[in-house]
Amino acid sequence: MRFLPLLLALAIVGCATDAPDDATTDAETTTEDASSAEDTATDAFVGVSDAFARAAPAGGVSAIFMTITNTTASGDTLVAVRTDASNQVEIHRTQEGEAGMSEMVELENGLAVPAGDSVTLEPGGLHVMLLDLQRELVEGDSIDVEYEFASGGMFSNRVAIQGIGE
Amino acid sequence: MSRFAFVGLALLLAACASRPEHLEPEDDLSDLDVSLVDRDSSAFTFPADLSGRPAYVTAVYTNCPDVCLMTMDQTKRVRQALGPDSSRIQFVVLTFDPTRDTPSVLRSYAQSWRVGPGWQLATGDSVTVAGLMERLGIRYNVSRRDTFADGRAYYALSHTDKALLLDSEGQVVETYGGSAAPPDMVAQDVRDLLR
Repeated sequence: MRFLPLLLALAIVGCATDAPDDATTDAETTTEDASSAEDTATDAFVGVSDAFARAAPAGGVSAIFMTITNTTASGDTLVAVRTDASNQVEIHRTQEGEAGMSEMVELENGLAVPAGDSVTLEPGGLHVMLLDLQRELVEGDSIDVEYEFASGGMFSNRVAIQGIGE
Repeated sequence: MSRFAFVGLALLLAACASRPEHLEPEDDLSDLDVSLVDRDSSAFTFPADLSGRPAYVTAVYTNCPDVCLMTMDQTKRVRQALGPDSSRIQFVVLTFDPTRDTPSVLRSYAQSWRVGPGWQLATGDSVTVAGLMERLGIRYNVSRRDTFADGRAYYALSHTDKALLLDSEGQVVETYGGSAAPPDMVAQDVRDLLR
């Protein structure tokens, strides 16, 4: 029985070291919507939380909004986003352009996520644009999305579809 | 009551009833006679068919994935902020993309947004819409063109983000950022108009 507490302690330590230990853990635990429930990180350097996309008809366009958190000591850049729901996915910023008009600009070099910081993609600003939707995005449904970073890190999650009138 | 006291009281009441200075007319649209169609394909003449009520007018295109959604959302918030007074004004959503935004598309859009009969969503022929947008000070142009894998053409628009408050005579009394109009402020302006 003398060794039982020691074995128990080792077992606990073993379990703890199997879990992600940095940004991904934080991001997932702070996520409030259903989108993070099935998040799977292939690298524990960055997390995506609070992701949602807008409902839209097949053949139309939509956008994904989220918060990207990077708690490591190195900056990274989101360079690509993929989903089978769209044939053409781009990272965009909405900004005020010529004559005060709102315009969308593609971030061709990707979206920088500084070390120890987060970047929020929200309506009226940054967003992931989904063009040429391959199917209708229905409120209450979800889509699988994969994120690729310049460091080689990959992240995937399930993004909830919100109605546009929400 | 003396004659002077009566005159003074009348002047005081008149002052109270007058609209705030910032709601003095900036433009007069009452001379317009723009033939549009609503989401049921019924004729909608702007501004004559606003039935002599104040109107909150915005412009969007339904393929817009970002700012126009905010504009619609903000307009709904204005309506909510007005409470029972919301039935005393018209909410008008015009499209500046009449090629794609047909009445049936606008009908689906209205259903998605769960907006009721107090809203007018209107489109028209391209020349008419362009003329109306110019008069309203709303600019738009094609910002990109794509051809999708199946050969379908797609374009996106850059556009002015604007909402206008019209009084019951069809005069523009205030303008706002369409996607950023503070609902409580707009609601107060509307109530000042309705006094």
